[in-house]
Amino acid sequence: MKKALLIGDKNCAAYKSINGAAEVLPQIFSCEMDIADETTYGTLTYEDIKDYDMIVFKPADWGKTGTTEATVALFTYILHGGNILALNTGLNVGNCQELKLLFTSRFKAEAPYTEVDFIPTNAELAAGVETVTVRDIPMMFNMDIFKQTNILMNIKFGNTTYPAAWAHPWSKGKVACLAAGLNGENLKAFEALLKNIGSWFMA
Amino acid sequence: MKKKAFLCSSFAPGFHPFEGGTKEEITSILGETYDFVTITDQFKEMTLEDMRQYDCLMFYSAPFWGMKGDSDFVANLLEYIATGGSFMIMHIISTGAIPETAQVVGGGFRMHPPFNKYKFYPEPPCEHPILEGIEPFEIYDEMHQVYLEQSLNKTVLLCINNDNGRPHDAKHQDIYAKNSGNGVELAWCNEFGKGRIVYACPGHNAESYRNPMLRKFLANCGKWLAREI
Repeated sequence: MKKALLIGDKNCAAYKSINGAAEVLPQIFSCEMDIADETTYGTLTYEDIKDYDMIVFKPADWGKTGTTEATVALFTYILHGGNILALNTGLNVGNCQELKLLFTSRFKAEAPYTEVDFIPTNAELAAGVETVTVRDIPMMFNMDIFKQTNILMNIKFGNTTYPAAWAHPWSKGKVACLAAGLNGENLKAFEALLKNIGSWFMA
Repeated sequence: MKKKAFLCSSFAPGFHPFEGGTKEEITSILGETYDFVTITDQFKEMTLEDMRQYDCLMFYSAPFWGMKGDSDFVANLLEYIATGGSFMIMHIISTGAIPETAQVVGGGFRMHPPFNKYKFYPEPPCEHPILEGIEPFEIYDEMHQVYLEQSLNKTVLLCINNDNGRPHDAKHQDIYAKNSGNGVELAWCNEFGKGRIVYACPGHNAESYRNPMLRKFLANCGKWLAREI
């Protein structure tokens, strides 16, 4: 992977910002990483993003700050074979139906910050990934009924198991989602999974 | 100046006959707004540039089955819609055969009971311009049960079991919902990306399309897709 674009907010609550991701992800993926922050991501077009090997999507609150223009750019990018990795707050997109379809999920709820075990499944993309225990914000999702995804990791919250990482092709592109990573240290803990996802994106 | 429409159906014999009635009714309903530049059963080789020649792509019971989400046609169609195109699917929601188009259009065909007389109700409360002047209407038709996509911001336009909030008395009208209170949605519209989508189930044959209220409803759909209302 040569070049990626990180979309997200810099000036917001620390656990929602991309500052940690900006530091850690270029090392994990061994790539250059450009940033589109809250001053620029709303005006992104397909032409702006089409040459990136991967887009990492982690805005603080896309439901409020996202735009139709940028959403259409991301949707078009996937249709032309692009790769999107959605992290943490990037999976709560408010009423943005287009991204909910790409992510095959609808954010349902989150629980208070706590220690969480992320348990790998036997999916191919989870090969070599061990249980990751981090302090994070458990997120719960309703999964789409039409577009099947591959669950890579689960969390158990209360007596219920929830998907916490998943990945699937979407039309000509690829989408991976990780409902974790509120800071750089947490993202580093998922390095094995992220490297698998990066390899799959480039395959 | 009229908008340009592409109208596609299956010409397979015995399968929702298009020629000899239905085509004529559909083109007359929507003919005030559109010139039907192309009427065909061939569509799978369309490029994005081909699609962008038209203001609206319309499909009546067209055979989307057999295609996959990563096919060129599907990617082109979704880009056409997301970047501003208009798309109308009539009667069979055959886009449900492909997961990505099932998601975007809003559903997938599940089953239908035998042909029967159904009363269609505008979905309350709804002030959408498509429903301007639309009253409940009754036709003999084939009502499709549809698996519904839950992630869309669509506007439901017609249902068959919700008479202003009261479940319908006739059993067959409520055949799917079975007094659960869940709506049986049979027409909706949505703005997806920069584009517009309409799904309208009523219309199994030419006879259905002769109903004046259904004609008015579909004409309004056409105008909305053309951005005239």
